[in-house]
Amino acid sequence: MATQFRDYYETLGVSKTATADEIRTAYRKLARKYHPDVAKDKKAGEEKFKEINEAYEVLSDPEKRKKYDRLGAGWEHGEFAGAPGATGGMPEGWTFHQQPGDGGTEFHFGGTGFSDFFEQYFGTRRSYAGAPDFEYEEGAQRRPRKRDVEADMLVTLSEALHGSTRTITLQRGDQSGQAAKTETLKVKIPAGIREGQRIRLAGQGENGGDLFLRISFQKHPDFRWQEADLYYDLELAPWEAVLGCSVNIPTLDGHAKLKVPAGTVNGATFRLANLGLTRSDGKRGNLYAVVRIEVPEKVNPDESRLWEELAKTSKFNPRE
Amino acid sequence: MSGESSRETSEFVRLTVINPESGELYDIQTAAAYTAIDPDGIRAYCREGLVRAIDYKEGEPLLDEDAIYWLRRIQSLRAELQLEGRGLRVVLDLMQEVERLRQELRRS
Repeated sequence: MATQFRDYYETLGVSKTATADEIRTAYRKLARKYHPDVAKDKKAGEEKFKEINEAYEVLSDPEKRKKYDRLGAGWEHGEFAGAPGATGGMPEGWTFHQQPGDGGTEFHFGGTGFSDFFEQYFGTRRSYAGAPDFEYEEGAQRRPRKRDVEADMLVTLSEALHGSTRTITLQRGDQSGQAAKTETLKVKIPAGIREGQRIRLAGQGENGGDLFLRISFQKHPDFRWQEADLYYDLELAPWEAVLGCSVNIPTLDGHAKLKVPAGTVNGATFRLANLGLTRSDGKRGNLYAVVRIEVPEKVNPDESRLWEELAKTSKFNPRE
Repeated sequence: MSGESSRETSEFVRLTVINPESGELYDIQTAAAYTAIDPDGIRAYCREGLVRAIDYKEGEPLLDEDAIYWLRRIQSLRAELQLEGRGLRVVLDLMQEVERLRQELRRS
């Protein structure tokens, strides 16, 4: 069955020449609208949220975006119209090819929550042979070599913090032409898992090798992360920063109220203790709210008059 | 952390994954069994810094799942690309650096 092409630019509502900033802004706006916690229609919101995340996953990564743009151009000309595995089954990466006569298998992987299109062209899978004489016996027939398989597993920040159970599918297609066999596995993602950690599923690789799932965090509309700390861009109106205010900040545990003192400058950082991800010692990192003062792009006549009055009255000059 | 599976009558195979915070460590004999590398080979890799031991017990390295993974990769590089010595070290360093950079890129 041919894989359906996905127009990621259309999903995010940006042009093909959009800058990285434009893509990020479009993603954040849409992701906040369709986030399962706030979407009015939760079911439709969940599907849309997945599409938006997938589009951003590709378009925010320069290498993936370049590859996608080439793919799109090829698709329009009728290339890649064949069955899954038209690219060879193994995307770019340090994939070691099997020796002839090993009776190896192709290995397709699903279950990161992304579409078949994404998995086929952007999912990262690699396979490695085990020790060369692992399976040889003296005088006996050679058995197929065990191969470890490695794949990226994208988890949300919330899953990383609270844990979850994910269903993954493994499709083993034999190069000798036998029909592909699909297995479904439930994998528990433990609470507190860290980015870069690997989950080893013994015996689930090729010919009895292991399957390694390397954990990567899915991009989040509200948070960036560094180790176990989260960073949130706190957007304030100029008067909120000058006069002070109380704001609701999203966290992975719900919302937190933050009192912004009067006279807060751009770039000021507020630390919300223990609201980050899990550290290697089991404790929580912090959530940092970083102030970004936003200026209204358009003002009506009344607002314009008030700003002009303020400009005349105020003695503040940032260039002195 | 390793996964254990049990077959059931349904299509699903349920896997149990050990919580990473339990910090399971393997002694050299267990690591040798998991990786099909001779214990002396593992000791040499630890001494040369190709693989990092989390701790030592009675002079013997204790290894975590990450070390198991990299020991397997070493075997793979040796078996399939015939890499040894400096070449092996350079490629391993590059692999780890690429992994680190990819993670940094994702965060930005």
